[in-house]
Amino acid sequence: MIVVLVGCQPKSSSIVLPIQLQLSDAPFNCQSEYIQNEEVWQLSQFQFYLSNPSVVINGETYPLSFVERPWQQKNIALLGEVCGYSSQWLLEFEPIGIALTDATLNFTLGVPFELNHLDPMTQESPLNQSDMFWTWQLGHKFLRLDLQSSQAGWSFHLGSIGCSAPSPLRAPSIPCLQPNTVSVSINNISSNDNLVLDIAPLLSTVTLGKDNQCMSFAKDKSCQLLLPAVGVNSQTSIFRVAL
Amino acid sequence: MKFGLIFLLIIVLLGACSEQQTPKSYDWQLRTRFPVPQVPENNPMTAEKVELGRHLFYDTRLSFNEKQSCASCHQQQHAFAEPLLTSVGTTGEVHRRNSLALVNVAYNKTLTWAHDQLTTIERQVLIPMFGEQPIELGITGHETSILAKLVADERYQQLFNEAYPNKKVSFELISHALASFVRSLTSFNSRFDAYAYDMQDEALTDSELRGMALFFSEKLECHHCHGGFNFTQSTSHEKQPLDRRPFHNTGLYNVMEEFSYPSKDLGLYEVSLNPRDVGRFRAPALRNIEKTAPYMHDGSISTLEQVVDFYSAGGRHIKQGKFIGDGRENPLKSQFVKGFELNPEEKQDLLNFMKSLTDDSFLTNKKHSNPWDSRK
Repeated sequence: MIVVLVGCQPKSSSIVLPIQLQLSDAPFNCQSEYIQNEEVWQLSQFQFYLSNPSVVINGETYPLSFVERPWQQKNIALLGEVCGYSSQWLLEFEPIGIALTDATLNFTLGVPFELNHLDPMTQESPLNQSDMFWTWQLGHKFLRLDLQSSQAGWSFHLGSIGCSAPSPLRAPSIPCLQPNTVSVSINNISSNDNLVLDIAPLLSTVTLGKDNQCMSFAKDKSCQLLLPAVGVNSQTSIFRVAL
Repeated sequence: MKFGLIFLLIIVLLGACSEQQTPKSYDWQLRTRFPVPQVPENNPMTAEKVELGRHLFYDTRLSFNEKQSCASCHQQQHAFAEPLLTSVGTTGEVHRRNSLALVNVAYNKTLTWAHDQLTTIERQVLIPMFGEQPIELGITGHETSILAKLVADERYQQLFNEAYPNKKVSFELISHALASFVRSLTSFNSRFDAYAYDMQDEALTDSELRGMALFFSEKLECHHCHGGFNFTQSTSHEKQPLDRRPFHNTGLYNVMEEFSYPSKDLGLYEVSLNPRDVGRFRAPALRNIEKTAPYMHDGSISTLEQVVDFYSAGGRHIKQGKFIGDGRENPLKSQFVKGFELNPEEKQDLLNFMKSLTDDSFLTNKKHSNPWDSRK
């Protein structure tokens, strides 16, 4: 009897929310050019980890699971692009049985502490990508934005700082002083919406150049502008719903 | 029930009568947590191929004039590199590049100093074997006579038979066996490895630990190019098939020619024709680095101390001579080569750490040594 009932349920499809990379209102991709002080910059790599996703619909919170793919496990996804190599710009979740209408999407930009400081060689993808990993002590880069001009390169790498461990090759046993994870909350989301990831709030704050990079040290002038813009200890200004 | 048992018995009997044998999987002898290197489907690893490859690697008959073998430029005591600035081929022609150490090459995403399309050892070995500019082993034009010599050797008859039963000896088999041998050259038993992966806190001295902290610091940024378990970002293994393109311009040169690097070697640009790739070379793995002097693609830095000084300065300023120019100002220099200050104690700590990457068991492992006795 029960078997028959289950067999008759319509299969709901997974929840898919495309992410549009933009510079203000214009699409931005590996071919795009960002001109600052007559220097032309292009993207070479922009990747980021998202974790702990959930939605709130009509006051009810529903935890979400990423669909298992080579670049994502249930609770952690590595999205973005390595220009010329790989490109993942879809948020893809297992169905939760109801459609998204006027929902609030929540997730963390970053890797949870208990996963962040493990040996990447023993981890499943996407936690085994060595260029998204700093050290056991500091963990992963939560966000890696690398731009290139004909003259120079510029990088913004977001990750935990102030992690106590006996050496770079030992994991911290207590949370880092500055975890630098970003909690993101996006309102008014429905099933057919796209999300926008706008890097204008990041690029407009700094003069791009090799002396103005940010590796998440709060003391660096560039980080003092970039960290709040991305959402560390503040409201993120880079994620929103597409109009 | 009875029918089921008979059915099962038939299946078991059929299995037992099967001609097919499951190939023994190759014993990499890696730490249990370490991932296995990616191996091309058309050349799976077997102990027999590795043994055949080892014989070929050390055999001067592979060069047309019998003066050189692979081992001439890849010497085990130097971690399969050699103490020359650049290599010299079997006719005495000087190569423009320094012999790379064959340490954990199995994990390299790309091969040689500056090529982003050479992704298998099978393809790379063809260059020293058949290349003519410069001539290395000089096999081109002498294929038939070299094959004849090998085929006539009883030892090879046995080795080829074990590695490739019922197959005719060819250069394809030779290059595959050589690739299998080179792939077997894994080195993960340095004192650093004992500290990092065996969790032996006592394996490194205080100075080496301080040096390690410097190596992985944002102040020095070594790990940006020499990071990961293989101390190079040019790494791939079965659990991490995602691709990377880790070639960097470190500011070794800044000459006043058409390009900012000497025209004799423009690095990755020669392959990609992308002007941004001028002077870009692959960051080699650093295990056993103490043994592989001199350094850089052209051997132009002699000692590890000078390497540290070079990165400390943020590039190389050449004040006179043919290559005069300030590499520190090279516009294509990687943003991770910014220069840094080290006091003498810190410099020594860093050097001590780099020396702790030496794996003596690898340098003396008989399985990687010359199998031919002096009678040959």
